[in-house]
Amino acid sequence: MVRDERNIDRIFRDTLADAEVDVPELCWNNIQKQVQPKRKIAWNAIFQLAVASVALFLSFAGGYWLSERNNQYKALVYYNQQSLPALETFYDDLLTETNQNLSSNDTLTEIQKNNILKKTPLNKIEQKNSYINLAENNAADKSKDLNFDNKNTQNSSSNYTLLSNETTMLYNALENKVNDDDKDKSGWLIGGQFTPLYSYRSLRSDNADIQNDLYNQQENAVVAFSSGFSIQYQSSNRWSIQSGINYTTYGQSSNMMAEASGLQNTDQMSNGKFNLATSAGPIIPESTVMESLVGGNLNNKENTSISPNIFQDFNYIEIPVWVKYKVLDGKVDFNIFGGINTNLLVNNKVYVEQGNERIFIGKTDNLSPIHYTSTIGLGLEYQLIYNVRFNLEPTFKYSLTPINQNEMIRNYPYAFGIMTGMRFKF
Amino acid sequence: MEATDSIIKGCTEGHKKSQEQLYKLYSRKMYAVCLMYAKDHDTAQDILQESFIKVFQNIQTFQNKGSFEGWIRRIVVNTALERYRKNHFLYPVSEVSDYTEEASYQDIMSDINAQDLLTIIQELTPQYRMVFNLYAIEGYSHQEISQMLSISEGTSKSNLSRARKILQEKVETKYYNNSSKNIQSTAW
Repeated sequence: MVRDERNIDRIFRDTLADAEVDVPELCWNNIQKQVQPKRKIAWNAIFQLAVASVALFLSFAGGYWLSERNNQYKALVYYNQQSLPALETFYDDLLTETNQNLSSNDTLTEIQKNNILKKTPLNKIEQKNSYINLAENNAADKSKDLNFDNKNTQNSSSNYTLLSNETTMLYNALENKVNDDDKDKSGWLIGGQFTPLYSYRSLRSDNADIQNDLYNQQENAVVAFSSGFSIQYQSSNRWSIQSGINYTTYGQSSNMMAEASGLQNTDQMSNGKFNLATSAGPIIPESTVMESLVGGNLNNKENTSISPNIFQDFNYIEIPVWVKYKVLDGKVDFNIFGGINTNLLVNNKVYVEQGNERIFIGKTDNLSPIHYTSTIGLGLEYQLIYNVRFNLEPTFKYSLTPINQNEMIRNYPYAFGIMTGMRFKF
Repeated sequence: MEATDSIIKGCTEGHKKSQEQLYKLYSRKMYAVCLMYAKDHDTAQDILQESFIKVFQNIQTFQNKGSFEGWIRRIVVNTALERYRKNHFLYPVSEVSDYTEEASYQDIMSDINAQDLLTIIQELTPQYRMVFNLYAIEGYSHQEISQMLSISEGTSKSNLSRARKILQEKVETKYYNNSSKNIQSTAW
């Protein structure tokens, strides 16, 4: 019999809103066993903090030791500086002196003039060598004042004696000084780099991370990479700014494929229309591929040819803007740097692995076309030859904005890597 | 209210007696919620146990914004959702949304009790049950449901529509059978 029309929603809601049902006794017993009143000591956090403290201590200790050595060299350089001309004027003075010698002496033959000219350094390397020779001679004289030991060679035909260990240190310090004088100048550097990355993500939601537990159980980190070109402007000996362009991949893997054979409703496979839920967004599979994989291979649980993991790659064009500061200036420079990167999404792929082959199965939906990351890093830079430097820079990238557009669960990728590359200064 | 505050404080400090008091206060109601989302009593008990463990482990994060019962209920619903997503990460996607306006149907409220409705809800497929509970009972919008379950809004709407139709048929069938029996007994 038809009575007043009522909304079925309201009927269920009103009836069930305050419904109560008796609970079996064993439930409370099970809960009691698992509830721990005392908080467990976060050993993981303590361990990480300890490792970070040791690394920081070693960095400072190493830096202090290196700076001490550097200071010793600088002290030795100071002793010699009094009698050395400034490098900037050395070349000009030498040219002036040479020209004066040439013009003041009309009796010189062409051969003699050429010999004088040959001794005049015409490029930076020769200039450096001349400067060092001058310093060496001066060091040999100075070493006597500093009570350094000297050894006279038996076959020496030059005006200076072979240097002992102490004056060799002075020689090296002077060489560094010449190198530093070169480095002091501002300039541009261009280079290329490659960075293997350990990529994973953190999740944030408005439900106090309770919803994220499942995704954290299912999803894992992947090995990714970043490579590209950099351009750097060195404004002074210490400060520089760097930009460039990189192709960067972030990603994650999910161990869902092994469960796919447990589909409850075979109709889901017959019409081929279904999605896979991940923390980055739903995966829209190529239905024919998934049907053949799931309906064919994975229904047979003994078939292990398909990997149990689904891999999601997110590919970006990354445009960094970093500021660098040179903490230690020596044979090997030690830098710290940080900045912001703009990431433009250019591609995303989802695949499974079968043996050595990757089978593309679809794409992740609902990704943001642009997102921002931050970078911090330490850098070691070594001058290989004249203007070419090799760099090794451990780097940490962290997302400032989520890569997905889901407001309930937000996915923030992060990555650790060691950037290696070469730079050319001009 | 003051009694609840002291129980919450006791649970924050880890007192077992307070935990037991809190459990006794809310377990029956929350078990009914679990039965709405679970397919059977065993699953409902698992959800209840997991939920209360989370309540006791996270009770210090309750900031007195809103009702405490509502806070526990959200934990229970989220725990049920976790379990659902773990077992049903593949879900059907409807290309055409056949969502229509809410269907009207007969008033049979007085003849149906909570236990019957819980049984009827449990007979729904998991996808329909989740969407119906989240929309009709918990009051989430289709946009929120789509994000929680990683489905499209169209899928949420069509699942709700189908769930309502199935529930309507089951409720009417039950009511019709009961009504027929009542008429016969009265006639005699």
